[in-house]
Amino acid sequence: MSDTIEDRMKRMIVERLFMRISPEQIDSNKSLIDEYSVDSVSLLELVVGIEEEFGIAVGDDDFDVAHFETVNALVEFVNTRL
Amino acid sequence: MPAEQQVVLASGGLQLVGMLYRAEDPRATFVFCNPIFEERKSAHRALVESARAFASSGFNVLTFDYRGCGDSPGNFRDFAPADWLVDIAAAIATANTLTDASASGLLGLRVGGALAATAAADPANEVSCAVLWEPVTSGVRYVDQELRKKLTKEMVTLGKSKVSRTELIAMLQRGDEIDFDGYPFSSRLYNGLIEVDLLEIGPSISSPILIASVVHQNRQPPEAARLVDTLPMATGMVIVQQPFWNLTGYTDCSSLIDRTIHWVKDKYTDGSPSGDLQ
Repeated sequence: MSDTIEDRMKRMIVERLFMRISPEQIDSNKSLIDEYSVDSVSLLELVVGIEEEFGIAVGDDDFDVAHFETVNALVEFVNTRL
Repeated sequence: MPAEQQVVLASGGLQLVGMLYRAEDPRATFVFCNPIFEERKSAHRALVESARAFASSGFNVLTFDYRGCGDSPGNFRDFAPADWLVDIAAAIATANTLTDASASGLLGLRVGGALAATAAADPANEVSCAVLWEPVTSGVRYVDQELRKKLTKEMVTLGKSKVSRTELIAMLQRGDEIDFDGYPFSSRLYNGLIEVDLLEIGPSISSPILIASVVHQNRQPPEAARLVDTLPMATGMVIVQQPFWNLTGYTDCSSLIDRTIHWVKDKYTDGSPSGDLQ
């Protein structure tokens, strides 16, 4: 079975941010900032990661915290761009 | 612990502040070239640890702040890479005067890596070896990344970024200054940074050069690979580690430091190029 966007997103987050948890341990509904200590520098790392992993461009207008609050929000954002 | 001595070096009519880490029976002296903006602060501890490790391994190190940066006098908004290259040349001359070592190497991180490479390309500096840690290879791309950092911070603080990169670049191009993390990002600095292109100057660097990529995957990024291919005596190295120059907490840089020193020792042992350290 192929990876879902959600799986790929979680794996990318753990790898890029050197998180000491497994991708499966990330709760897709929980705040990345409040729950997983993702700060502004980490968010930029995620922007670059999303662009490389999914081959989409994140424009300046997309720098809206609503897109980056949770894994679910990120998945929804990517789905609208694919 | 090796002897450490605060030093003052003259450059551009200013007295820049530095620190000399003395080795016993030194084989060479290295001048460290700092990054700029917040990266300089975040990298400070790693660079001090590196200087001490170099000194313990037989290499003097001179660290210093460029004019307008850190402890050195001057206002950041007044300066640009061309000024900092003059400072690096002054630091090399000072290091040669203060130490008995006959060879001078450079180690630079990020923008400091680009400056170190540019200084190494100038025969007048007589640089015998250079180490570039995650160097900025393209100033245009670097500025773009830095402006994206600004947008991300605005997003976290305000919920959404307020200006676009296009608008910010237009401001810089018409001579305005923008605030970047509390640093005045001047039009002059912008114009100096976008001129950085290591692929262009690379072929004129004749000394051995180590290009270390600090990345999240054990794979050399394409732009680092292109740079290694461009430079006549370059070695590529990949370190899987967090980008310590972007972080506020402590990051263990021992692997980066140890492998760098291993490469440097090889250069000053028999002078022959070592194999690829990937």
